[in-house]
Amino acid sequence: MGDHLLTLFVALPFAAAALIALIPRASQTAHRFVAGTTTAAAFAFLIGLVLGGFDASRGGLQFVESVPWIPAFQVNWALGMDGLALVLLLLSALIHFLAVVATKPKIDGSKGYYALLLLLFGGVNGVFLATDLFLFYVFWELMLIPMYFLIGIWGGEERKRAASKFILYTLFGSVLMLVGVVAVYLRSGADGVLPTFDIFALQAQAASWAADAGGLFGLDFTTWIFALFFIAFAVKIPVVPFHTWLPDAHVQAPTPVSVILAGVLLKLGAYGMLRIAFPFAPDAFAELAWLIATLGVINIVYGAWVALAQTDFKRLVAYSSVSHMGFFLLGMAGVAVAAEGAAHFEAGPRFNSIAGASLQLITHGVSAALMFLLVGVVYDRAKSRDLNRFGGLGRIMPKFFVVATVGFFSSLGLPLLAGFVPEALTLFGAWPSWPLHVAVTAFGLMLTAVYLLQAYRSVLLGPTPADCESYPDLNGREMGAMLPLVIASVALGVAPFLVLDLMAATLETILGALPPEVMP
Amino acid sequence: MSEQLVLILPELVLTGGLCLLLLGDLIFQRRRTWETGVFALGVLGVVAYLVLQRFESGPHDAFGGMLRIDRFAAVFQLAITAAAGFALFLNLQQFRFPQDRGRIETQFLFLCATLGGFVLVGTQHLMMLYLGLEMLGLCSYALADVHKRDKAGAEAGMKYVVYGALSSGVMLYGISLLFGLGGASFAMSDIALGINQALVDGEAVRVLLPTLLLLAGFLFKLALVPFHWWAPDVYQGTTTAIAGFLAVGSKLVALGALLRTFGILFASSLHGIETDSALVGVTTAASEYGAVFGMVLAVLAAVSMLWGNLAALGQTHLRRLLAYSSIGHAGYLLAAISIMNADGFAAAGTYAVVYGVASLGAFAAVFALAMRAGSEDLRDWTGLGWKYPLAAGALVLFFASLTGLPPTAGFAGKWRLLAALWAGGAQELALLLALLSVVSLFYYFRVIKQLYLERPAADFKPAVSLRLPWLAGFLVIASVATLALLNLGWVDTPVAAATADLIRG
Repeated sequence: MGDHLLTLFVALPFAAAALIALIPRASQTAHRFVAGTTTAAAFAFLIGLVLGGFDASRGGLQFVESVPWIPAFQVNWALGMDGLALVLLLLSALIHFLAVVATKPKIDGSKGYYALLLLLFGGVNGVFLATDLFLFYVFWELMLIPMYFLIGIWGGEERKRAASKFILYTLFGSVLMLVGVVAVYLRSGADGVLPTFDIFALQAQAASWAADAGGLFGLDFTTWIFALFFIAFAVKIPVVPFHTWLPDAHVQAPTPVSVILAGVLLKLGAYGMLRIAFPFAPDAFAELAWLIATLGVINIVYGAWVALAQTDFKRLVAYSSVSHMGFFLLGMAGVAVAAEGAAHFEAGPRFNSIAGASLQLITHGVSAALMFLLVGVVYDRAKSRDLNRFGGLGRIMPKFFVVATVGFFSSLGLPLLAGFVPEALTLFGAWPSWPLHVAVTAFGLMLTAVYLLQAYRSVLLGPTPADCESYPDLNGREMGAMLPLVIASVALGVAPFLVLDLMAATLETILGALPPEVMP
Repeated sequence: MSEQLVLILPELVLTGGLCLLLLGDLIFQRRRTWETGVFALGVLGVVAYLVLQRFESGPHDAFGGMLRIDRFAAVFQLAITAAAGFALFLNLQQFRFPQDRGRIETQFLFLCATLGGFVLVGTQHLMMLYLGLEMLGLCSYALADVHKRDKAGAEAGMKYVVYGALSSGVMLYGISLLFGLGGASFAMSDIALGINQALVDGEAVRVLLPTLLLLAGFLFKLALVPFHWWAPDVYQGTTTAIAGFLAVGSKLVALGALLRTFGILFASSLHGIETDSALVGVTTAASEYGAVFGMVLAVLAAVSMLWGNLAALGQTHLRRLLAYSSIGHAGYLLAAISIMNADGFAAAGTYAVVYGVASLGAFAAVFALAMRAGSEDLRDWTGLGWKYPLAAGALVLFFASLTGLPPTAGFAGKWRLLAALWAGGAQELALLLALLSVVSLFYYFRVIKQLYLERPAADFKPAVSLRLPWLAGFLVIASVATLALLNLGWVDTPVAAATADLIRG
């Protein structure tokens, strides 16, 4: 039992999905109950690990298990958990649980809906825990089809186009990753040893690939690997110019699915970068850090700039995701370069950068999920997301007012709320190596404040239009979905170390795998 | 002699079965088509069982090398048997339509084509190869035309015959040249020696011309550019059962024969340069030639991949869509062959089987949905996924496999292809193949979109409601195919091993 802890954890949602498939179509409450219980149990299990069982002082994998799966290709069913995975899993379990809570009790085809939601959850868990590259890829692709149907069947008016766009963009990234997986696997066996899919064994080998020259189209091997994996994960994050699927998918998806998309799925791209794209090609990573920094800043500023022009509330939040995910890239660029003499990681800029970048994943997950729930609340009442239609909702919906204030200001980066710490850490960390980029980012932060405050004002403040007067305040279901996120926002703002301490040792291990370019 | 006859027991059973069918036609005067159909299915079942035994016994030569019995042949013989059984089964259901009634000939032709396929893939003798190809071909022409209903169908049948005759003539010319090269012998091993001699003498043109001519016949059967024109018209013009047989049965045995023929003719280049001093000269010359020939194949493969996948984008007729996609898939197969090494051949063999399973399943699902919708046109399929979750769900699974999404077997197949291409130095082809699978996702999911993301019309009435026994039969086909898909290593490993036997000689 103890040896297969993670396998059981990964299998749980799949088993629950199968259970839902057996429940009659009409028992909507039962479907909802199974999905809710499963996600809540997963969350409780992870909290249990945090309280006892998981050793946060160790940087390596814990609860490791590995059984041969396809011996012909040395593929193993290999799972393991480290601090980063644990924190992201916690986020994912929480968000999936809240997505179930946020779903309206009566929906068409609830059987399929909850089953797909659980399949998605299982796929996400698998990606975070897989330590075998092949297995990672299998879980990665497993998320594709549930999401396609969740957007395509339960989404808004333009759902068909959005679902197709989502699956095409994502598969485009995936096939590049697949080619990368093939290349890395074959390369690992090129020196007369048995090839391997073990992600960490591949990381250890990666330094020796740097000498390979003269690959396809004149690029050397590591640059190829980097390009293939970077684009694959960039689609998911998403990095401008691969972002155009996101506004459509986020806007068209039903509220709970948008919450999962923004809260969890975008983080998978970043996780892939940290685990695979960067450590597999550390030299290319260091050499191309200027590109990563620049793309990061473009994400931040461009996302905010476009958000500024939106009148659709949900689209605005979607673009704010693009903007916020830029901080991850900027932080990672800060990891790639070290000032001379800054050898110790403890509080050095490199550690600040990576801590900021990874903390941003969590805090953005929390605040973006909250924002999408807020949009959902407004939409359910007005059947519209046009920002110009509303006003003064704060006066007639006091509970909503409090929750929305936390959401907006957390997203904006107000100190003592979740958004502030990672952005500050990232900027501090990136400043010594990328001063110009940080300066431009400051401009982006200003834009962020402008579009968020504008939206805040037009929804919550000012005179209330006549047709908004009758809007009821938050009901129990909505409150139940949002309150945990409000608490998390405040907790992460006041005590970010709660999460940082879990990750710190792992982040240092990752830093070790990414030798920096030393700045003169 | 008698032990030789025991060796070819499956072929004998098949021959006996089809003779009885012809007799049955005379006796029953086309009144007992259902019973004869079940009989034909029974024959195929026995044959499949007998072919399975071939996996146990070692390789044998029968009739002085005219026939070769080994597990490589058995893989593809099993495939065409399955495809024929599948087609027969679906064809039985078509009796519900008056215009298709009374076709014992069709049943006969399926068995006869299967026999041709058995010979084609189970020989190392070029004359037998040609006979097998023609037997399969002639039956296929007749099959494609049996169900002519309109001008377009007749035109398709005509196209098929004309293209077929052309390519087979070209191929025969190639065989006659090879006959000379091999010192007046049709045995592939003799011809391989002749080829090596010619290459060492620096007379590569004497090899290039006949091998390219020989290739033409295979290109036609596999529906590869530039011999692909017949496929979309024929698939559309005939019935789903026959299209499924042509797309899977006929294609797979042709691929098996192609692998065997070129595997033996170019054995020296496939093995790579030997360090043994006596062989250095031969293997170097053969490798150089192999590289040139591989380049030709690579270009053909790339064009087929592009053509098939891009042309499929605009199709709304399901069988036409599957026809173009099968051109693309054949391009993937040829790409793996074009790298001219053992890995590539194993990958092609594996992918062919995986493709065959998913493709048969897809044809079955299309059949089931088209019967209800009363049309093979995608636009009439709005929201059928909600009405017929079984057939539509199966179609999603099979399309996912054809796209190569995990955890289906299609992914295992695609993995083998990509790994072989990348390791074989054809990285460009690997990238192209990967990107084209995104394109293929687009047209496969256009179908799924129509099935699930739309709601069915309120007044939808099924054109035909399939009866329970048929539904059960369909379920068996679908679930066998599903099982094969979900067990990644199940299909993959034995096929790869059988192909490896072939290369080792």
